[in-house]
Amino acid sequence: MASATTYSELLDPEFMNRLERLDIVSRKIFAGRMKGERRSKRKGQSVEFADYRNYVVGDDLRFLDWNIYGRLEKLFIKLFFEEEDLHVSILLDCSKSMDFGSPAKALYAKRVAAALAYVGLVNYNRVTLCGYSDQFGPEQAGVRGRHLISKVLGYLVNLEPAGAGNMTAACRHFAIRHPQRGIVIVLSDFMDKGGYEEGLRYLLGRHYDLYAIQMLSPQEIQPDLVGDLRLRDVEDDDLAEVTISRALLNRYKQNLNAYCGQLQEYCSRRGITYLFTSTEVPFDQLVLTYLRRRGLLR
Amino acid sequence: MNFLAPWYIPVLAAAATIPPLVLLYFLKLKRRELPIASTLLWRRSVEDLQVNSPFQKLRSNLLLILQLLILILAALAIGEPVRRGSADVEQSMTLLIDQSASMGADEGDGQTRLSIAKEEALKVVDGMTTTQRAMVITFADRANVLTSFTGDKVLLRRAINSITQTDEPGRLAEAIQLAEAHSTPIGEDVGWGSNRVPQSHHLLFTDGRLSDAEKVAVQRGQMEVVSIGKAIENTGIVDVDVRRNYERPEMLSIVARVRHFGGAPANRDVSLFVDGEMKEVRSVEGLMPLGDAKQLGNTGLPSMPKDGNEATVTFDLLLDRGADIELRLSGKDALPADDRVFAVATPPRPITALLVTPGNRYLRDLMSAMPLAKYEVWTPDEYEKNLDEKLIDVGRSRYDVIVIDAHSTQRLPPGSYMFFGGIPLIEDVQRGELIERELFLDWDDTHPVLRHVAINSISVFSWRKLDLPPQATTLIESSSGPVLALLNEERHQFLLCAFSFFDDKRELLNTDWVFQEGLVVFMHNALRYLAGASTLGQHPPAKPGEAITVAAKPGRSTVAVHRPDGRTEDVSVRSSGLVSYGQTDRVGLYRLETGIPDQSERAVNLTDDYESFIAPNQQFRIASGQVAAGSGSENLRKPLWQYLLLALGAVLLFEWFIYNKRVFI
Repeated sequence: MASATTYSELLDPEFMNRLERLDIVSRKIFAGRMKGERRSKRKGQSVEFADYRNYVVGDDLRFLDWNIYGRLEKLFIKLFFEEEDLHVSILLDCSKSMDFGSPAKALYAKRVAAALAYVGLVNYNRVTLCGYSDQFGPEQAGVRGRHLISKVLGYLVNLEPAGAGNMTAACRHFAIRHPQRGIVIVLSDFMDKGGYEEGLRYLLGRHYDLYAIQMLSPQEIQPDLVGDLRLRDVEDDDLAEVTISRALLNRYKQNLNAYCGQLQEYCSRRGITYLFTSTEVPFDQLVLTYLRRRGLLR
Repeated sequence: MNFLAPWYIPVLAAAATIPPLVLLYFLKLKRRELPIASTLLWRRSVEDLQVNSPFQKLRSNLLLILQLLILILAALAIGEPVRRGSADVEQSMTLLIDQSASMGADEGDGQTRLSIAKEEALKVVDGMTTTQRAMVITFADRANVLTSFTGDKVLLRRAINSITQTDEPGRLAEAIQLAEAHSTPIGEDVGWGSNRVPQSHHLLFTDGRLSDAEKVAVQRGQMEVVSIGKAIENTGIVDVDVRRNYERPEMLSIVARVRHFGGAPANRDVSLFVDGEMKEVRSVEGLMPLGDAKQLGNTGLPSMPKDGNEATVTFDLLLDRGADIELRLSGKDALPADDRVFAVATPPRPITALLVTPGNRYLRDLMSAMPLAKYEVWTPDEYEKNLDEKLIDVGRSRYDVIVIDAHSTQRLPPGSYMFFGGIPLIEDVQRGELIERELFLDWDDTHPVLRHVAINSISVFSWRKLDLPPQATTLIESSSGPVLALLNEERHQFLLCAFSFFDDKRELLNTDWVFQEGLVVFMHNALRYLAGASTLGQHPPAKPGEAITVAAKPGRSTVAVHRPDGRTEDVSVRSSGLVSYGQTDRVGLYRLETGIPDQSERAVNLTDDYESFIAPNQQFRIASGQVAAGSGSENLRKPLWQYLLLALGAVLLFEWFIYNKRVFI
């Protein structure tokens, strides 16, 4: 098992310092639950003027614009932008297949999740971490504030890959439990025999700002297999008898490219930001460079 | 396609290998188990390849099918498949291989007809099945059985490869007799074996130039003739005579007859060598072709040469000693054996003669008229009583010819004798009853003794019947038996005349021959012939295959014979003091270490028009029996196993490619 045993294995202090300068960017403006550092879609009590509207009975008289009333003898309510917190949810694939490759996809995903969670916590976002495999959870929901990073890391350290992945069920469950909109980042290899489309569709239904980060190990991208093999699926123990040949390897690579291409196309058609990475890519480079380039971080 | 091996061999081979292969194939391949993240894409890839592969149904079994094909091909190859026109091959074959002089004709590419014939015979042996047997008989002047019926191909190949070229004339009769004798099952004549042994198939490898072929009858089986050879151009020396001048014995005349047998005109030179030194060259120009080149194989040899088809070359030289004479024909033609002839010239030696007569003045006068170096007349009584030293020298008669008139005797030292009205008192020669007033029925006027003698004008009143052994040659024959005959015993030569010049009482003349000039000619011929002077000037040459017989110095038990091909053989001397050497299969000079100077060399020459006419006989016939012509190859099996192995190799390569490329998983 390639899971991290210490916090520093997931996030070292130096890297955390570099992450503190970053913030999670949402392409959408969402209504938060609490006052936060982020402008909300909701009009509220901040100092930043947003708009006027006609007074209706019951409105707070403190927000009446008396200057307008003096000139026009009509009652208008001044609207201000509300600043609220942002929900950042990270859906982490914890199926057995993530425990594959060198470096293992699970460790790589945990590191990315820890980094994103830390950025969210630093910026007073409400961070939710959900691991899933064949069943949803456990979940670390609604963490806010940098002092809770140890809680997040502890959750990630204890997350063990197990069982077959069931993305559809996990996404459905998540969407039901988290009706508030926000950023949802799915970290997975997306190698789900049940398909990824339905799961993503559940998430799309909640109008989340969705990010799909597909991570594969080098052994999956460039298999170095030889001979007559019985390939056993670590998730469901499905067996595939193959005799490795150049033709088969070429065909596998074509299929992998096609699979990833389909996922990318599916995502881009539906406004999901898709990012493919190999666990061979240093995860700090992924976070500091590729995610910034994709606009998730700023 | 037939199989040389019995049918059960390939079947057993297939049965022993194919089931284990199938069994092994159906055993599950032990695969290494490897955990992976997901089989999703692998399954899809495998399915894709399966869908895109041609012959999907065969895909999973393709390697098995290829391996089965390899085993089947190997089993077929083990069965020694052959291609053959007909499958009903006789179970026993007689391979008759002609090794006569004409088979030495050069067919180009360094191959002679004999080497081609051997190759064809080897192909037949290679194509034999295990149930077939063959025997090898080689023949020229005589036939030899090299192997009796056997199925051992190694033995047959060795026998065929051991056949060597001879310069002997080709005669088929003895070979056929041997073949039929060996292929006749024991007991056939008594009626119980005839249906149990199949008839033999005689395969004759020859150019068809066999002088006695049209007299040969095949009683059993069928003869198939494999015609060998294409060359037709040949010029040869077909006759040679070496004589000393009658008046001047130191002068030697050599007369050679050169004949052209090809289809195109030829110019040749004839060179004379004396003791290996070239003396003279004569050109023979404008030799006309024997006939149309394309038709030569369909025609026989004309008995009378056409105009311009042959030329006579004469050399005259002064030679007062014995010498080795050789005539060589220049240029190259297909048959080298007839381009050289040899002669052993004897030193000039006049004839000496003894006349034993009770008083025949006709004979006495006649003999005195003959060109004799020494001539004596003895009475029968003197002949019987004279001391041995007067009559015998070195174990042989002191006289070249002894003419005995009206006397029979036992005193016969080795030599030549002419009897008139008497006989040598030896075994198998007897005088019988008196024959009177009979006519001569037949005579051989081609014999040197009777040449230019008018026999039909001779009248003889009576003679005593002659009883002679079968080897005697009758020269004049009456209804009651021979009147004049030649009899050759080991060291004796007798010319026996049944009648005497006078009647028994010696009062009346018995014949009018004494008044005819024919008697003079006869005496001259007979003296020359008996003195070995029909070819006076040389020792009579032998034909290839004929035995050479010479006298050895008394006391010798063996004589070394140096052959023209360089080999030396030892031959035992018979009790009579004579040495016979029969292996005269090559032309040339045979040197025998006899210890007697003029008995040490003999020439063997081909000088045979029939053998020199080398155009392959396309109209080959025998007297009776079934003969089928064949070129050889269509009757022979062509082995196919090497093609099967080639196919096997190709399938193996393909299987290796499939296995390594894993195109079909």
